[in-house]
Amino acid sequence: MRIFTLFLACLLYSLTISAQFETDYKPVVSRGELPSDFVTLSSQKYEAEKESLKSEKGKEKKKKEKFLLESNFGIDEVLLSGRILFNDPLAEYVNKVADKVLANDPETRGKLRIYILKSTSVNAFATNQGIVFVTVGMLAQLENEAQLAFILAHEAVHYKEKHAMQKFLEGDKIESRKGVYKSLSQDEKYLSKSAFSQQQEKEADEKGLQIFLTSKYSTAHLMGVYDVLKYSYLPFDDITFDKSFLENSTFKLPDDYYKKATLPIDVREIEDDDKRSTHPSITYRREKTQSGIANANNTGKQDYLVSETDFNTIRETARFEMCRLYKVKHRYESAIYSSYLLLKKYPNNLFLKKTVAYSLTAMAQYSDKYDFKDVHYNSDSIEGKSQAVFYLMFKLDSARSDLPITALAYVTKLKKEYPNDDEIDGMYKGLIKSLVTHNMHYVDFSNLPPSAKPEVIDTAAVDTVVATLQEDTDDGQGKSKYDKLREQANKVKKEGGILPTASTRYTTYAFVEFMNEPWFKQDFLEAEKHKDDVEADRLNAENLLNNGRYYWTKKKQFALGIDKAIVIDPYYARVDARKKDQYKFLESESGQVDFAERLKLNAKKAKLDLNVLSTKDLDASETDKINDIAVMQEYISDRLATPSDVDLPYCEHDRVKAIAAKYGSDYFIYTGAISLTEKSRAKAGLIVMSILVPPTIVFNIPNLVSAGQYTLYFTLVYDVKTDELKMVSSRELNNSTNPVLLNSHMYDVLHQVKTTAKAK
Amino acid sequence: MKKFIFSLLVLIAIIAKADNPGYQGLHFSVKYDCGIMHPIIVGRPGKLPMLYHNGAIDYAISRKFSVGISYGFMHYNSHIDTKLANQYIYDFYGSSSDFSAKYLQHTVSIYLKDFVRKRGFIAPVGLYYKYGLFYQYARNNYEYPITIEGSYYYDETYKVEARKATVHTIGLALGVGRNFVVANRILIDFGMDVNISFPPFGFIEQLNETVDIERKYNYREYLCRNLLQLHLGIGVLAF
Repeated sequence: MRIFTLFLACLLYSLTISAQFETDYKPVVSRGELPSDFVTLSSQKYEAEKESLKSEKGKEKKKKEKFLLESNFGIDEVLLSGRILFNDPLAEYVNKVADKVLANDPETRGKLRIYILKSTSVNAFATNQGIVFVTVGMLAQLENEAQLAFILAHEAVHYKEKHAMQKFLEGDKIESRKGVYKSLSQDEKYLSKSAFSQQQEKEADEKGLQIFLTSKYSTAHLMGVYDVLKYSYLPFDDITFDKSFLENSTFKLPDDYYKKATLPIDVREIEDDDKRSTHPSITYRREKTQSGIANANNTGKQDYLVSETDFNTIRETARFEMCRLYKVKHRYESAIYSSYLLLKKYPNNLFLKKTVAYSLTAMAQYSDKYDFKDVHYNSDSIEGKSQAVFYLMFKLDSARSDLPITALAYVTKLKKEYPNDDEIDGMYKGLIKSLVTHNMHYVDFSNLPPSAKPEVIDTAAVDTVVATLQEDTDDGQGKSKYDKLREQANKVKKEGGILPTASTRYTTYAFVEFMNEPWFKQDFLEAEKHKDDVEADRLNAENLLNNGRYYWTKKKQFALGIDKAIVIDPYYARVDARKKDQYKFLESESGQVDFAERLKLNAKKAKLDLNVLSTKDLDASETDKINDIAVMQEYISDRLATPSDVDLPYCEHDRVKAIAAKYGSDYFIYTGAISLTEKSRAKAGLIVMSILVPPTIVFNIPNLVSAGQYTLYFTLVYDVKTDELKMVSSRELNNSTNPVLLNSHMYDVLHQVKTTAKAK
Repeated sequence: MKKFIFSLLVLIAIIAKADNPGYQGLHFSVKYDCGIMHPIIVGRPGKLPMLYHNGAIDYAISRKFSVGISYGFMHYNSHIDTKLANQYIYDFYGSSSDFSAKYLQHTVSIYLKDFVRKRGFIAPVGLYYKYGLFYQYARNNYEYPITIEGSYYYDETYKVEARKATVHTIGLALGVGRNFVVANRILIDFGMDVNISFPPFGFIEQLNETVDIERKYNYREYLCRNLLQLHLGIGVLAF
């Protein structure tokens, strides 16, 4: 009976997970109320923490204040970057594990706030303020809950012992060669910093283990955590990449495109030289932990205190999220391999198929229109079976049009399977356009399998075809060479398919399955018909960018005729290049608040309905807002990282479209200003002018006395429906960012967004 | 005249069609400015303050330019201090008795202001250079006729009984200044202006007797008065 119950439980568990990921995956988002870490301004946090230093005096106090200033602002930048998850299933689970492992230290637990960082790296961080970040990459790689508990205990020690601040203060001493660090060379300074950091890590390992041992977690499978760290550079699994994954019944990639013997994973236990590392070597840490748990009593202890099912679900979610993150971060080869690994388990998952399709499309576009190296990682040093994917992409890129054709073959297969999916349709049509632009036509592809039209045609067969064509006309007498060739071409066109030649390649048979599908033929021919339009579109886009870039000097202006738009977290930075601490945290934050308010004011004056989504005015109920900002920030980052030549739709168009629908506008605006003070660039000139033309001294004095003031004001407007960059306005102004100047430019830009071009 | 009307119509059409931001959509400003001039500058020491008043309307026609029209008025009583006149200005008055004169000046100008885009200014805010044309009427009324006995510069004995000297002139109105906006509506303007007469010193005089020296005097005074005017103004951005 017990065995049966166990079997039933396992079955139910696997069914639950399978059902969740079987057909699709929806990215995880934050839920519930916004934690106070998000709604309190960095300056307020800094002021509050500064109070604790009231009793202290001297330089040490100043250093600590500096640390508090920089750390609060630095951490908040991460918190509000859109890369953080809270109250989502992942964060909830990790917090539950923290509750268990820190059950005997409720005070510390009460102070810790644990969030998930959407990063593919395998890591966790603790801050001086009690915030712990655990990466998605870490959750995707862990073997069990106990390992996560150990990592959390380790991070809790970092927080308790105030390691972050200590490291900052010690680093400062080392840098300024104070006390025992007197007369250190540059290299010795570096080594000293590493040594100090390692000392802290050893302490965190040691004390973290003590916390762990007092909990009810078992040490039985704890040591695996060091394998997780050691092999963190590898994907979450290592499976042979199947040759047929990107092929179809007639499209067969050449054998030499596959690397059968991939670089083996280095599994040797080598005592690393860790002198220059912030952490002790894994071998050292493993040994220390091993000796620490040698006498541990595991009686009544378990690997899972929260839930094994939950752990597996969370890990699976993290793995899906990894695919998404790789895709968003343009690491397409990793996205393909990770998706491939999960597709083995969930062959019908649309999200994974689309991730592969998008990654292929993106690489095809880079290969075709930009620099493939921008998105390709050199496969030579990649260990493990994933190397085959990197190698395959490299090989496909080396031959013209092979990558777009391979991508189109895969995407067309999906198009047939999901005919109503807009994203797939967009990729499919984009790839056809791309091929057509490079003079690949419908007739260049065979509608018969290779067996019917052999790759290397024997001369007799060709002669027969040519002879047949000639028989159909006449002996050719009285006709020019060109007339004869035109007639032949017309014949081929009428009959469809291609006339095989000795140079026929494997790509010719990429679409045999689809050539006779009316929609495929129609889309291809339609694209050929509009080939010139495609080129014109590209040139227009290029002109727009150029005009935008030089707008301020060439007097170009826009008239977009937009009534409603959304502004994504306006940016403002104050930098004083004359000072040692160049970035002015407090002024930047207050400037950002002011900038957002000013935007609203000017939009009102320009009669533009502007929804300003700022991270500086959040309240606890605005979790949806921060989720929306996160999606929009990813969108903007992606668009900024994608060269204008690459005609690539955004990979998460559905999410962006949902936000556009929610706010009732297809236009996203990213805008901001950077105020820079540096040494005046033209002081000598002003002095000369003042001497030669004394009256000008009235105007020159302010510039002579003050430093050089410069302002960069920028605005980007995207139409998220078409992914089109509608406006680029970048203005470098030789002036300080005063409110009136900002108002002038903001109104000017918003006016251009709102106004409609007058009829000529 | 036809050409002028045509040009005016073209200008109005340009302004009406202009698609420019102004300052937060405000293109039109009404402004008053005044300048204080020290009597010594004009070479005829008088009673302070020697004020000139100026009223102007401006319209921003593009991001870079605004056009405007202004009317200026200046009126003061000169009081000649013999010593000062002797020492610094004109020995011509060396032996004269005290006298005073009433000065009146009306100036109308049209101008174009070019706002410095490199510095990031959009009309009507910020540093600008002014280019324009002016018409000016100026008159000096001498209340006390004087008798000049002579000086070591001039051997002759002059007897000037001038009652009135007037001038009508046109010229180039140039200037540099800076507009500040306060409370999104109020315009503060300071700067300096130079009026260069064309043709230079085109006086039409109505003098009773020998005029050469007095005329020279008037020329120089006029030149000084127009050479450098510092102004500080306040205005309203209307619409």
